[in-house]
Amino acid sequence: MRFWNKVRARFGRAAENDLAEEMRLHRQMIEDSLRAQGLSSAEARHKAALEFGPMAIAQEDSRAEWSYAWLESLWADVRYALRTLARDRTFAATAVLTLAAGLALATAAFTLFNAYVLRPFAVADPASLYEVRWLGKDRWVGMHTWRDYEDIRARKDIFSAVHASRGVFVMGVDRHWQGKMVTGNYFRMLGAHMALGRSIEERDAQAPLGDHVIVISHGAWKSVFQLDPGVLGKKVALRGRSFEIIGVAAREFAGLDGSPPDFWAPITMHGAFRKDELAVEVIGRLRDGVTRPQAEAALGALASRGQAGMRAGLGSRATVVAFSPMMIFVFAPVALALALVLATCCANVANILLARGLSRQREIGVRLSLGAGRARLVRQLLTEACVIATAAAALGLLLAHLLLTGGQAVFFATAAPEFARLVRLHSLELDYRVFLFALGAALIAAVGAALTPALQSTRRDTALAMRGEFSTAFRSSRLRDTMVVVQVVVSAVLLVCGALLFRRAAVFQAVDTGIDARGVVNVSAGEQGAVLSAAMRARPDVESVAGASRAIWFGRLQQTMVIPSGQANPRVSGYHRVSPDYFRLFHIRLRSGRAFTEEEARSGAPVAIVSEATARAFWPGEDPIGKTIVPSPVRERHLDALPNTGRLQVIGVAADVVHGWVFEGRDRTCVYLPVDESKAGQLFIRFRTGEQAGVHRLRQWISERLPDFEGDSISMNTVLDVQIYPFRAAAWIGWMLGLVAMALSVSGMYGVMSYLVNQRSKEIGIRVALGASPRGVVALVMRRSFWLAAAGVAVGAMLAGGAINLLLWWSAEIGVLRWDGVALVSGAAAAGIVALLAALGPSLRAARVDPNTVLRAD
Amino acid sequence: MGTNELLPGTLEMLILKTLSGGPNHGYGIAQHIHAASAGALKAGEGSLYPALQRLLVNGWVQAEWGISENNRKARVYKLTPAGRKRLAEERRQFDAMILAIGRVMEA
Repeated sequence: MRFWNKVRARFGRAAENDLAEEMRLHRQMIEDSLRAQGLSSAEARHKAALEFGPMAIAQEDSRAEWSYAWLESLWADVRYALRTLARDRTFAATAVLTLAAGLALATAAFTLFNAYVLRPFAVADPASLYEVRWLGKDRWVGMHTWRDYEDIRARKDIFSAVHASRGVFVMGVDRHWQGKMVTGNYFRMLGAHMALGRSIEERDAQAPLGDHVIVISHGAWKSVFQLDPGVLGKKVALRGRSFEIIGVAAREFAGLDGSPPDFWAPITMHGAFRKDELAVEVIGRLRDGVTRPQAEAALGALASRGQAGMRAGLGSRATVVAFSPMMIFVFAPVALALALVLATCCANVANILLARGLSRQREIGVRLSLGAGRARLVRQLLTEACVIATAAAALGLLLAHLLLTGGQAVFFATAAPEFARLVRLHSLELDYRVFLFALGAALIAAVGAALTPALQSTRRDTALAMRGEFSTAFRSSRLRDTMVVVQVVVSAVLLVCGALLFRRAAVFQAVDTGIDARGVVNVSAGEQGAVLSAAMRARPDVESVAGASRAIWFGRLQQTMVIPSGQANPRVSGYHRVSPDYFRLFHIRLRSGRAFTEEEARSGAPVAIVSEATARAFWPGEDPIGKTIVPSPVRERHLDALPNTGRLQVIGVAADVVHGWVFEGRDRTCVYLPVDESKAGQLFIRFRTGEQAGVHRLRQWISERLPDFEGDSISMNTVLDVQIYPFRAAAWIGWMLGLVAMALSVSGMYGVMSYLVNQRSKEIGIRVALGASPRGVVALVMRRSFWLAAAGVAVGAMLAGGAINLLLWWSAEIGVLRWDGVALVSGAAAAGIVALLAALGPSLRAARVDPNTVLRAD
Repeated sequence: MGTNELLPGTLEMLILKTLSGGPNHGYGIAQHIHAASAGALKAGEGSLYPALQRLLVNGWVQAEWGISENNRKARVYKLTPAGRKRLAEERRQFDAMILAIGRVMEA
């Protein structure tokens, strides 16, 4: 009521005029009555004016009753802040840019975090979706039999709906299709919307008469069909069969997987896509009121049906990465680095604001002595900070957007093209959460940055303030020194981490695997090995073909237990089944002995070739040719048992190569066993045309001759690129963070030292007047900078050491990183040197201080 | 013309009381307070109009343009039901206050 009265009165311009008119009439009435008492017109007017008093003040007071005083003064503050910022553009630009840079980094990282961890899948009520798994002691099973699915689905008391699905990957000549085969209730259960057509329904997925229909994703619609509105009814050839497009999923619907699929097909099409047995992922929607432990207990009987001792576990499928302590642990180092950068940005802005507060001391002093309230002044400075924060948040969002789109562009441009073609990212749009995050972070940053200077610059003795003299009380403030030290520390830590990752990535990139993979394409031939190998050998553009039981560079070599002759105890050893041409194809030199023969490969003869490292480990100082190896039974789960073929005779020694992870180096042990090329499973084909053309020709041939072929093909160098890429990316990110931190510490040091020089200019002037040399003055400033930088470097080096240990511990599982003293020393030293260089400018300026000017200033 | 300063906050009450006798304009209200107090109280225009605005803000009075008794244009204020309640309330508080002050002075 009150509020609306005010608003009505405030926004009606008429109210204002009414009041003036009313008062004028009032005065006329007084005049009238005075005239009636016999006064002349002029006298009456004069007396009425006297009696009424100053009309303007009465009007002002009356108006004040209507307005929100604080609102008006807030608006005044904002206008004033804008005006002062516009007057000092360098200051405003520096503050806004510094803050925006930090925010952009934090926001971009948060966007990724949001897309994969925070933002639920765009489906109906994602929080109630759980994946059913059977958990054993040391393993868990996520794929279930069809019977298990039907029994889980029958538990209507636990789940209101349950669907089953299975992924499929279809490699085309140029375009690959990532698909999901789903039960008929999948789309309805997830509440998915369609951009075009209809979804897959129960009638499409009814065994045994499933239809050859698919729903394509919005992404595939865009990239394959250029958003053609007439796409419905078109056919897509997958695995040699033609599938009709019946629908296009809405843009936001990306299923429930980390990598969004390109198409969905009825689960009854399983046989068309895969030759293996049907096994499905099962996801249910928990009923209201049923807790997860209750559901897990209820499913316990089903879990232990297949294998005793198994129990049921439910995993949330609300987001790509389930929010768990493990996840927080994984993200913590990145989050920490970003928090440090953001904190540094805040510290710099605080410094800038502080320096500005000092340069405005006279203005603030005058305002204080004119009776300005301290709270009012603080509010004014805070308003200024908020204006800066708002601008920085807007700019930061823009920068974050550019960073993300640029980052994706860089990723797709620099990753191996084959690899980039396989990657499907979730939408990295800046949604409202990201916006709120940026704005919140900016406000916290700016208010945090402004609060200290605001309180400090208003904590003034009015009398001193009038004279502009409070720098003395200010000198002892340790705050700014701490800030500089902290900045040097942060940049040292980030530079060290960047250097560590960069040096590691450089090592990996330079690794000589010992395998010459140029022009070689790997195809998982499966059952079709004989056909493929015969066809490829017959081609003129194929130089050679070889086979192996396992793809290489996709993981560690398989391990087994063997007893080398002359030794009592079995030991762990890597093994690899290869065809006779394997060594020739990859240009792996045989140091002594011979390769397998075709006959040995066909019959699986008890012969073996060992790598040099294996020979050294098994029979140090002896000639391995003629020695024997006996397969031994294994107990551990991660080891394979070799068939008991009796003693294996060593017939050759091969050079050491990397079969597993590049970062683990050459195989510590590798025993090669013979296998028939056509039955090996994996084929390696060396094309004379180079790998890109080779992959294309192979896929072309497959699509023409073996349309229902299931295997994947990939060039070996792509595999290697994929292995190394994460390190390259991590190194770039490390460098980028380091550079940003360095730039920030430069601006921080420069700011603080400039401020110090300005503040002590009087003192420096006196020193110069008393005969101090320019060198002495430079030394004065540099000495201080040196101690600050030294403190920063010392603390930074210690923290960086801790950070390296944390990284080592964090990555211990994959054993990628090594302790790196060079990175530690060079990173920390770079941070210190750069900080000192930043202080050079202000100290040279101090040397040019003219005593005549500074001492006359007051 | 000796005038006394009003106790703080009492001007609103006097205006409300004046308007309870019927709608009136600003000049009329000032005149009435002056006359009814036998010239002892004078509501200065500098405080009369802010007070009237306060009453308007709170919805205790309404204003509209009309014609004064001697045919001049004037803005006429009228008591609202909420204003009538408010008057009773202020009256009660004022009486209690006067009583209390009286007791203190006579003690």
